[in-house]
Amino acid sequence: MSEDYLWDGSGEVDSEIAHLEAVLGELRWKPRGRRLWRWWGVAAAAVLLLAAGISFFPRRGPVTSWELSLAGGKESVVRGGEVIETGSSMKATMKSEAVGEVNIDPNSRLRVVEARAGLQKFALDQGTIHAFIWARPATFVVDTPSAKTVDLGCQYTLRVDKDGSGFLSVETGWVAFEAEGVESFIPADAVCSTRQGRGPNTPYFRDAPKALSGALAEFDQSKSSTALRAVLAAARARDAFTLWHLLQRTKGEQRLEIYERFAGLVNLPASATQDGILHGDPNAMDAAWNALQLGDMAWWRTWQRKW
Amino acid sequence: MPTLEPRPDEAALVRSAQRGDRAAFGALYEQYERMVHGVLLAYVPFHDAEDLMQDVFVKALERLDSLREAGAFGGWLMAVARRTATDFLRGRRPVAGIESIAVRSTRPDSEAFEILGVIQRLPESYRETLILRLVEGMTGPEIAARTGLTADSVRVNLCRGMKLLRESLEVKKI
Repeated sequence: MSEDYLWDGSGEVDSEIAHLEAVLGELRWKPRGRRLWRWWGVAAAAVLLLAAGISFFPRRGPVTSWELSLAGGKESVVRGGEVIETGSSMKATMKSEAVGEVNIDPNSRLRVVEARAGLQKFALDQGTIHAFIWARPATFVVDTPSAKTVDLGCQYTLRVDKDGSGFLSVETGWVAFEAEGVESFIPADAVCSTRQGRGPNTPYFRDAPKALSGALAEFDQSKSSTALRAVLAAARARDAFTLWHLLQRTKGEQRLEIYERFAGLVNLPASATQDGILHGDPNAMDAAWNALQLGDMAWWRTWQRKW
Repeated sequence: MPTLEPRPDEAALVRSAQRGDRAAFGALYEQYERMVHGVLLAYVPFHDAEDLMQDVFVKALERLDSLREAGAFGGWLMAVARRTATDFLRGRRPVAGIESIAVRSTRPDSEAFEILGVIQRLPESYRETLILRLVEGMTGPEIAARTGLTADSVRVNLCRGMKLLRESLEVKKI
């Protein structure tokens, strides 16, 4: 493959890429003859919204990171250390032009721990937030009583129950979930729960077989080998992602059983040696992660730091 | 890391659009329409992507007052496009995932649709970058400039995505 050609069309023409460009070019956005009506459609919508009393353009005021709006209420600036609590029927929205938007469900309590350039840190004591973040990865961090969530460029929902346990569901992008030295990397379409004092449970895809998710919940609770075998038996190729996290959470015989199933589901490179994985060698684990084809571990390491 | 430094003309356009200059917003529309179409196409069927283009720019216009950092416009607009796509899919089928809907709804009536279906099954970061490169015809540097991703990230996504695409096409024998 010609990387130069793939990058910017320079260098020697790669015939396969050129073929793909020619075929897929049929689907390219073609504004000819439509651009005007499309653009005027946007403009017309703007006029209608203005007529309805909705302002598009900025009011002049103090520059702040976050603004809070309650349903039917005025916007107000959010300051460090503030606590946002919603009642039983109240929803709220926080917006920051450089970071993203956070919708807060009723019966929630969200604290602003720290808000500065490069780090926006909150604590969700209870309730549910829906975060839609466009800031660079690792900027938006939410502590919960049982784990810390670190946005890696995404849209997700985070819930904290009264007992401090939590549940994370990722819709796009990635979230890192961390506590007690245990880390989970959770991609779109995956979920992960936490329990206070234990850190994140093992993540899994929302479409995983019920036999897998049920057995996984039991294993996270009891570490039972019977439950583990049920997880391994139900795992599909896609669930190797779950098995990779299980490798990090087990030792001895259990880790060996997981490795054997994992190696049967994933085409492992030579650097992901059995010995390395069984001994938790970081290089072998990274190579095993890369074999999942969910993104290069080097990318995750770029954002790894003490939050 | 993503740059927040806008090109001078673009920053001026964003600020003018925020002051109510419709022509400036129109110019931004023309600069970003390919990127928005490509991002939508990473999630939704081809014909739905066309329909959603207008929704994305209407939403962007509604919310433009909240954007005070002109250099964040590309990444912000990309996020608006992603969210429009996910909201659209959620509205159609509340429970199913993005990939399964996108793939099932794309009618494989030509080689282009077949290959698009394969790309839509790839991980998110790869499919967006590959579609911007192979469908929308943007170069790697152009993708980095528009999306706010680093050049290195775009290069990695292109190379790894292309490798996965090749393997998938080989399996399907397209």
